[in-house]
Amino acid sequence: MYADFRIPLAAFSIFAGLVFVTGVILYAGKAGISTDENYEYYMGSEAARRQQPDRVDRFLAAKTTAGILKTQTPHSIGFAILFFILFHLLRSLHPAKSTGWFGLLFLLALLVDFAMPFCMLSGWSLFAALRFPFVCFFAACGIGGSAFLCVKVCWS
Amino acid sequence: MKFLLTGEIQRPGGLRLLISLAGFVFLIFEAMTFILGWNHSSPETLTLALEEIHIQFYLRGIEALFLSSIAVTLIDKSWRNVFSAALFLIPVVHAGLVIGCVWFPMICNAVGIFSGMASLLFAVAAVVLVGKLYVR
Repeated sequence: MYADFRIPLAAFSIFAGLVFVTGVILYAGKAGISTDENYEYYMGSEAARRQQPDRVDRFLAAKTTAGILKTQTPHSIGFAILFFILFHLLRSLHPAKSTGWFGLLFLLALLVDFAMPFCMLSGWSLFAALRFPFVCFFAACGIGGSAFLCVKVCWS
Repeated sequence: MKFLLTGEIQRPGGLRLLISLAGFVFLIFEAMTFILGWNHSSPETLTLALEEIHIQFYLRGIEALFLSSIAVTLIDKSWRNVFSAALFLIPVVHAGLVIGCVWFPMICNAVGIFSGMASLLFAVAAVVLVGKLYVR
């Protein structure tokens, strides 16, 4: 039944994976990888220099709720559609319990990923240390799901 | 959504209308990307180029999935793979040109032209497929 759909589904899964890969590279390029860089990206250079006076000033303004929402809004609808299609295809091609758990994990990762910047702005600077690892974890869920879909489509 | 896997879109009723509406939205999207494509300002840094292809992979990926899924039931077997491959190869070539443009400015003009032509091709594909839903 799926033979005719192999090319579209395999290509879509590769594209979905590439979205997550480019997303992580973009995040690392903009916000940075280390805890300090992430803290500075969200809280601004002034707050970062208060914590570490000897650090190099990058003249970054602190993020605002409105500014974060401007990024989050298109991403929320984008990820909703991507999650829906990806999970729908995974669930149809591999109707096991593990797929459901994976979907739940992916969804939770998505929600935490969206909440983290707001938590940092609320003063929970601990999240600066968790931000980049969590972005990677979220992207790994997306890349893993896409890769599994690609393998399932090509070799089943 | 089941038509993505089964291709059951010939059933009369709302599904055909919904697919037609989706095709119409794709047309509007393509018209806008066509205009943007011709007036394309080439990315000067790798971050800007990545930003562009990040959006491109997402939008074109979903669009190509829908169009090729519809094509599977409407186009002859010999043509459908060519059609699907074309829809998915266009964004890849476009991404390559956008990234290449950062280091080789001489290909920047090609990015604009290719982007415009790609939009035109996607728009034609949407029109042909939606048209085929009604004229069989």
